[in-house]
Amino acid sequence: MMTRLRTSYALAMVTVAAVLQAVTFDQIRVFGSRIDLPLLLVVGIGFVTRPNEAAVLGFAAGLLVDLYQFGPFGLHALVLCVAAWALSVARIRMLEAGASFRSVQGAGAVSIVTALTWTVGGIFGESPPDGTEWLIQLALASLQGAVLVHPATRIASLLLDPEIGASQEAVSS
Amino acid sequence: MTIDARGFGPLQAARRVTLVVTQPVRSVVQWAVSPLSDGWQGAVHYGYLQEENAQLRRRVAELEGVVERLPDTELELQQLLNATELDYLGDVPRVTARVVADRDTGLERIVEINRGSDDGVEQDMPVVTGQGLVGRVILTTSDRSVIRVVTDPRFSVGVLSAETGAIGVATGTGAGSAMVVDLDANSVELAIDGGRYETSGFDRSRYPGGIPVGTLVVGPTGDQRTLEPAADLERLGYITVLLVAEPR
Repeated sequence: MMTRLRTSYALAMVTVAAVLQAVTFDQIRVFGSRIDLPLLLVVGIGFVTRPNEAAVLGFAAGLLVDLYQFGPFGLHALVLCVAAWALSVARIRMLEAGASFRSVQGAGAVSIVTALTWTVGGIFGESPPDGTEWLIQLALASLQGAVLVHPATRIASLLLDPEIGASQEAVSS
Repeated sequence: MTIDARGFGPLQAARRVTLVVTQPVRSVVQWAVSPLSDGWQGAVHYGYLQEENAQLRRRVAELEGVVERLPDTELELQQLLNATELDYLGDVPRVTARVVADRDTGLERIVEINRGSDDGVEQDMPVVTGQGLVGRVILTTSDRSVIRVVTDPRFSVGVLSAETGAIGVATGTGAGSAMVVDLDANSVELAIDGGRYETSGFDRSRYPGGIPVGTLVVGPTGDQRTLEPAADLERLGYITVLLVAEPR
């Protein structure tokens, strides 16, 4: 279980991610897409912590994202909580796949969570991309996941659970 | 289950507190990363910026000619801008603000300005540019406000065609998209492609009448009607908040 200190680290980390997202990354768009720091971090957390802890941290990260946005409150808390829990449950199988699949895992995780966010957002009256735009944005999200999930996982493992981080590195190598 | 709590008082308060508490951090981070952000925006919009620069130079040259003829430059230039840029407005109290953040979260667009309750800005006040309606205020702190733009699906406004008298309700469909217009049954035959629509200003409307909203586009089948927003929403620099209270 995470100690109180590690919980503080984790909450500080997701807070910084949410603030950076609102201040910086939401305003820098490439082909209409942007880096989603809280999502990357939650995926990283899901890969290195136990399911219950991942769910709690995913929920906290989602709440912070929701506070900085003006859509249905709880949307991101719901999606990131479920995503972190599911990734954590699946992580052992993923780790067994080895480092060569890390980018594929990242791409898959980020695109699935992004699509889930859009779907739930659409149900609650938001305006996710549609048609060709949907495919382009999802492809860019996958690319983002392929490139950035690995460093996000490293950061999460160093801060949250060095033992799991070390075992992950051992399995990967 | 997702908590759909839009407009819920404690939630609005929590969002306000979040903005206020993290304001110093956000200011520092914004200051620190603005060269990076500006550089990126410059690289992405280089062609656009070149064109914009040329247009601005021409405009500056025109204005310099006007300004030289004005004895009290600042005051009269302000009057000139008010007269030329917001000529559809009557004697409505207003405050001009700079856009300090323009965020796209993938699900919604959030525009933040540097005027808040200390400047008289309140929730639900209309926001405009010289071209037309931009949106309305959805949250204020003492020195900041958050704007919901007209293309947001949660934004609706009563519209009227001054040319034909057609009336209806325009609703946003998402960032970068036109607004959908639901015309009154008696107005359907009055819908003309290219017709200009403005806020109706009818009783209990949030918005004063006469603010340009957009241009009507009638689809090939005739039953799809959309409004292309009159205001340029792509690059908002300065906007004006109309200090009019919502009718109760």
